[in-house]
Amino acid sequence: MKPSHMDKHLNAFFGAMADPTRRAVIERLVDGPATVSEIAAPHDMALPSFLKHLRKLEEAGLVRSEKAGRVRTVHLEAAPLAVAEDWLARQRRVWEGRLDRLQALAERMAREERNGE
Amino acid sequence: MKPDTASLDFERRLALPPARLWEVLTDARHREQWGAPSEGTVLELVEADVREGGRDRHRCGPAEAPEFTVDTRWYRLDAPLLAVFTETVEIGGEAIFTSLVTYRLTPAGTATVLGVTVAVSSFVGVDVAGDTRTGWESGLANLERYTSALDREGTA
Repeated sequence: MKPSHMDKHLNAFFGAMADPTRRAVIERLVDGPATVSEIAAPHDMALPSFLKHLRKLEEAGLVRSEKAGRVRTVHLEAAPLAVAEDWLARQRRVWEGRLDRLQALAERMAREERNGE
Repeated sequence: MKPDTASLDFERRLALPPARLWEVLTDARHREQWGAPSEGTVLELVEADVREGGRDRHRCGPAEAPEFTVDTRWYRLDAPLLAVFTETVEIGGEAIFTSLVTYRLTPAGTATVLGVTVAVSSFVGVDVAGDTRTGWESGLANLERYTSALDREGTA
């Protein structure tokens, strides 16, 4: 079985988020779009290093940035976060999926037992 | 810490009599076949001790890296009608959520009606900034805990 599109999507997403700097950037952007220099200011690191983090977030589809003149503004992308957020729906899906597989297994076993009689 | 909780109820009619279904529900090898959390993931037996007070462990996750642990503790095993257990999913030694699960089996001719009650409590649903932005905040708090665990696993 191959990982589903959703699983791959989540893996890329969690990979990008597995870093305190990148998580801090996302938390900052929850408050609204901000310029690169505004987001970088609280972080004690050289700008090129900071931009690498930003690029990882962009590659994972978590943020997007737009340049207007000399100012680059960064926005949060809502969709990937929504995927990770829907906890209750995911719990329900897990159990529906398990019971579907259990049902299929029970039907197969019942068939095999009938044929073996 | 403020856990996210939920209670879920399911009922299915399954094509096996209670005694046979009981094996499929409780046997650790059988559970490998149907108990994975999604189609793209595996559940692999590590150890099994199916008795009241006993504990099973499975590895779980994508086949190439099943990095979650599922820890099952059996509290009640009244074969073939009632089973109560908890199932805790962990990553990097940190619990993500625990479910208290009850199976009720009712004979229905040659089949069984299975009732499942799941009371799930998440340990990663911390609301970091009050209730005002819960949508975003709870998602982010979940992420933070989850990804901290991934960090420690060295998968960053």
